[in-house]
Amino acid sequence: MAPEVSGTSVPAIGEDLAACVAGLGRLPAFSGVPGDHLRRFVLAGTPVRLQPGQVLVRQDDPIPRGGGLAWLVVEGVLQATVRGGGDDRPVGAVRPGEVAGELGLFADGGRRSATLTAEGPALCLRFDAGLLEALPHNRAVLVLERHLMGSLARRIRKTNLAIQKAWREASAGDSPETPAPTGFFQRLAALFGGGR
Amino acid sequence: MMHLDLAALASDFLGRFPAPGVHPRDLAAVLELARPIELAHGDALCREGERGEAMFWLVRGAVRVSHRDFKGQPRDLAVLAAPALVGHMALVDGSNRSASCIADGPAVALALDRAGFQRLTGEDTPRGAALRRVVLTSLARQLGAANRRVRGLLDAAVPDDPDTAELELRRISGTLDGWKLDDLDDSDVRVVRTDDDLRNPPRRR
Repeated sequence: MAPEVSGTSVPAIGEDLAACVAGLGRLPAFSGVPGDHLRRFVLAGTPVRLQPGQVLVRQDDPIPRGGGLAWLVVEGVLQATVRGGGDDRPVGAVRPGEVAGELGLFADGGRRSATLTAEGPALCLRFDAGLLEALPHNRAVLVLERHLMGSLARRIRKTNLAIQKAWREASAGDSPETPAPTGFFQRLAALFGGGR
Repeated sequence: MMHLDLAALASDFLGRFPAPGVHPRDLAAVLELARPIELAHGDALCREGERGEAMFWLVRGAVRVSHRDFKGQPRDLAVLAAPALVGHMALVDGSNRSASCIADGPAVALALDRAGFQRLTGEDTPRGAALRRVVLTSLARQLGAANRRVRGLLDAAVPDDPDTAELELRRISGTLDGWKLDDLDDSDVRVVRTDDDLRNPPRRR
């Protein structure tokens, strides 16, 4: 698996593998998955332990052609931020049982859309699309894929609603309660980061 | 009863929309469970606002995609040509149809109903994995393409005027809903009315 993590991470050891299996088993989505499936699933990925404030991946980092990495959060919380107007703006938290960087799994090149930073101590399982292929009859993979379908659909709806809201607000003019930003593109930049 | 070569259709589809680890044989097994629908010009494959009861593989012909914009005005978004995946979002998140798809000439689609979708996506089988990964790949491409379009827009020196903003909003929104993807060429997706919009941009209310 190609390294794609910014900064330094503590190398995976047996303890982390065991902690990943135990942590996943406690999550509601994975609670019905047989233990041997969970173990094979974790062994096919790479546990990554993060210190508070450690950056997992940075906005605009390149995604390799053929697909990149994603991280299943087992313990702790990751914060996603985008750059906009010189600041890092929080755009969402990734909690245990959720996947960060999932777009990279199915991308053929491109760049990361957000920076992911550990809020506190965190444990993630790093994987790529090869894990899905390597474990064809694994219940944990099935749970992961169903979860990814739902989370991608929610992100699509949320993004679409946010863009339409930005346009409506820009089109209606700024209210006294929300004096800035003024234009559609400035509002988009506030949502997605960027140079405006 | 029309004859469809499902193995060839599956290969064709995966050639255009590669999904990790999916063999055409397994996607063909999914298509076997779908019901063929023959459409005449003007027939509706799905209508905006309705509850989505099926997803579709458009395997022959083309459909015109249109929706009402946020001002309530009907807008043509694109003409989507086979092979294409249509209407899967509504089955994943239970949302209503975001657009209407009307046959643009004779067309054929394969419809997988909601019950079949739920059963297959919960199956620990090669065909179940094939369906999940095809849908995942499509959703990821929709979101990725929209993100790229927004970032490109923000990096470009486009004037911040309401007409440009509305046109770009429609493009991005259509991309998110899966009707227009940046990395498909014009033979796959033909953008409708864009030139007309540029010549006669919609006026700000």
